[in-house]
Amino acid sequence: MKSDASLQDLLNPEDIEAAFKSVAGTSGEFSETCATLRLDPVRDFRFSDLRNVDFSMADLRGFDFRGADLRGSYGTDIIFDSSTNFEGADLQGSCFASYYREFLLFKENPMAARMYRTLLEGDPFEISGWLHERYRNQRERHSILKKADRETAAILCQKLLADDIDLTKRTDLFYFLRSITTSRIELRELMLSIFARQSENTSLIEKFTTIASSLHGHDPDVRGFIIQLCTAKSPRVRLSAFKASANIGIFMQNFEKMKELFLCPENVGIRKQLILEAAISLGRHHVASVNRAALLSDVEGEDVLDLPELFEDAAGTKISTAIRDRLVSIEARLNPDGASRKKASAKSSPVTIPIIYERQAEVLCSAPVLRTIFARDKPVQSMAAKARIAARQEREKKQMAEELVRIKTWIVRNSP
Amino acid sequence: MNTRNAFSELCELVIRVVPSETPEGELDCIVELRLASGDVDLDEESCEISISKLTLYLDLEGAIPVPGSRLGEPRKQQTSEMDRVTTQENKVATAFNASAHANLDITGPALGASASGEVKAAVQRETVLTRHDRLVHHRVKALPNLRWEVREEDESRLDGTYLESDSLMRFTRTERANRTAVLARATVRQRDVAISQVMKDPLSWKYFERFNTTQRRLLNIFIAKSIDSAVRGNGKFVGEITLSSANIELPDEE
Repeated sequence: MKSDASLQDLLNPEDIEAAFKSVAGTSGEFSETCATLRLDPVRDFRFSDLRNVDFSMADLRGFDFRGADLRGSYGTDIIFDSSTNFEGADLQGSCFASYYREFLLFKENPMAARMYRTLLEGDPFEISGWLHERYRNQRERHSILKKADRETAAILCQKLLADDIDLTKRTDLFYFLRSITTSRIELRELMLSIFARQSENTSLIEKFTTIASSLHGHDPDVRGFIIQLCTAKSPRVRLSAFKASANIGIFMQNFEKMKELFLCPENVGIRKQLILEAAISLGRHHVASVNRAALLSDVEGEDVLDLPELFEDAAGTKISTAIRDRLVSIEARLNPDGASRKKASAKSSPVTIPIIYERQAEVLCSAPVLRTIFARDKPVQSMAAKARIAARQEREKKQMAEELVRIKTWIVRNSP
Repeated sequence: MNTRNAFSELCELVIRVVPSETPEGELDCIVELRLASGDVDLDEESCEISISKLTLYLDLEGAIPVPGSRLGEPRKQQTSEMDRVTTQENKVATAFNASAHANLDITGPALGASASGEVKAAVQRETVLTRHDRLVHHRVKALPNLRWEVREEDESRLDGTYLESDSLMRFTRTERANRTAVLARATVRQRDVAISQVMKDPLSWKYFERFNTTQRRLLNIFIAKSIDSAVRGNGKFVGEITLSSANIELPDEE
């Protein structure tokens, strides 16, 4: 009988220690760690345990995952195709599950390609009609699509959702999101798949956050996915996800965590964009109150104050001084003789720092996401700002009505 | 007999062939299988390697298995039993509508009244089928083609003696065979090898904690590959590790 060494004798602990040390020096990304450990994509991943692994940025073409446990794996910007072998792998709850269902359907069902072409190229209203008939249990009339069984229809619709389709089809598909995914886990798999394969397709993910959050705002899976999208690579996707999270109450429910996420440095551009857009909607004086140069229009992104800079004395003083200087120069241009006389009086700007702060508060009250943070952190200022905006709007409405009456009166008087 | 248990701590496989008590001419393949976990000491920490599922392969040369003699082979019943519960619910709904109206015109009052009644009855029948299945977990379960799967019900690590003087199956020699031999192999897929860290001191815990899930899973593949390479020497890793193998060549029949 031949036996038998111990693990300690057979394995080389130094090799394992070296591997531990080299992996500790990596960023933690799948591809980098694989390269460090010199793992062979063709053989080493067969029957492996890859549960909950993050495959972000990995090129998995040519990988052999046969028999592997990939449950719960996820990631963004993953490349995989028919050269990636998932035969016998456990893909439940992973970003690969939807793809593999599609792959098997197209391989095994010769009608699938024809049905899919019909869905993709068909008239949006015809397809919309079929979706309503199918998922509202009405008699189906479409000659080709009515032959699709429940599972086939679900897989084809899921594939269509990620394809280049018009807004009518997309809205209908999002409307029937629950029907085209037969279980919660399948919905999660579809969302993970979109995130993994379409993370560059900003427009699709943006539409997902907007449409799915308004139609399925109470769905815990959709809510979880929106939180996940708040960390997406694309700033457009993050902005859209933050807006959706504020609209459907996720932001308020997980306030501290979401605020921390929103205030991280990579979201500075998003915050400035929201501040500037809100200021533009309120008027030129508000725009001047949220940029360092106190410009009334054509403000550059870097000049816009970030959220932590609003209500700061240094920034307030700078804006107030810039406004005063502008007024002085205008006065000097209009009235060159009185320039020296006015100079002294202009030392104190008519737009004082408290006025600037009031305008900044009004901007915050009008900006999506930011208004949620402001209302929670500074409730008194937020309420006051809201009241001022409402009063101003009321005043403007009244002025417009009066103006209208004046015009009407003038027309009546001057009509022959 | 030639037995090779590659890792003495993890797996011990022994096979013997003895004449069966009844009937005559049949032989019992007796198997002993003991499984445990093993440690590998690294510099500042320690890895514990254990197995959650193992497959036992048997190859017969010059012999054929006796039908119905395999261990862990519960035969499915030809019939299954179901309880049928039928409930009948009678629903009788009644509705009575009544209305009255009065009209007044200049020629005189005109009064009118109308009444209508409706009785609805419905019978609803509901059938509930209840199926009773008794689930029995076999730690050693027969699979097709002379394979046996060894696992715990909750997929926890295998630890203990799973077979001891148990007849894995009976077989008979094939007539005019050149030789009769039995080969056994105990293999494990890398996904069923659990590699956990043993904390020696707080410092070592910190060492392991710094890896994320992705890094830990890939390190596990690296360790599984190292185990396979230690056993096999040359050759490519294919995700499966043979922990033990044994073969017996039977002497010719007199």
